[in-house]
Amino acid sequence: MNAVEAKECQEEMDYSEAAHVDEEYEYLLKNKDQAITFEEYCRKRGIKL
Amino acid sequence: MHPALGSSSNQSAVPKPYPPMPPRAGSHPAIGSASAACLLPLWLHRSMQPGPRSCQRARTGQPARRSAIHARQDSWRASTLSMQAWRNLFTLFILIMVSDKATIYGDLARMTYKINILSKAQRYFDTLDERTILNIWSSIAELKKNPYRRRPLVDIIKLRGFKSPPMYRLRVGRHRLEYFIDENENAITVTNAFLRSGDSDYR
Repeated sequence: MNAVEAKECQEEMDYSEAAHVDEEYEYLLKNKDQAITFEEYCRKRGIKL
Repeated sequence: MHPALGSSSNQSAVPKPYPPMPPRAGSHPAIGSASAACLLPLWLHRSMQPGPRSCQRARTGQPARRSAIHARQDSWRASTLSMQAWRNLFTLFILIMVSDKATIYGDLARMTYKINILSKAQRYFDTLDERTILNIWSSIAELKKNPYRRRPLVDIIKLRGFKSPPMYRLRVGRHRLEYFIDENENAITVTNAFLRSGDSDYR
């Protein structure tokens, strides 16, 4: 792999990572009301913190 | 006049020994003591007073015996602060700096974030055993103090999106937690959690 191909590959990875961040943020905005705190989750499962 | 430089007519031939010097102005035994904070203004005021020998001799009632060297020392002492005063000022400066830092770090330590988990991350946590959850909790408890800075127990990287705010990825062993920070609500929302697979975190 030469330098140009490596750079293209890197740019592609950055692009897909940024798209992944955007996806996660959209998911957060849609499901924000379903969030519970970590303490509540542990209480549900019966884990003592 | 100093005996070594010659005697005047009204002085005896045998030079009298100098009387013991009273303590210099500005010497205070309690340096840097927090309990003496109420005495600080008085202490500083006293420290600022220069202490020429001639004044001290006048206070003790002894006749002034001055050499040229003493006169030079006196004029220097009258024009500047004593060494003890400089030490006191330096101690005060250090005390102020330390208390200021303590206040800043105290504020940071008091401010913690709330951790919210979305359903996708909850589903992943359901597959984990209690010990792993406790491991994650120890990292999250440290993360709550400052979710931005990378440090021991908080191994994070920052990921940028095209139009969304930055997302952070926390490493806990082989597990990864992705979260966003909401500064208005002082909350950290974990949107996703997964097991690292292969060479890259990105799946």
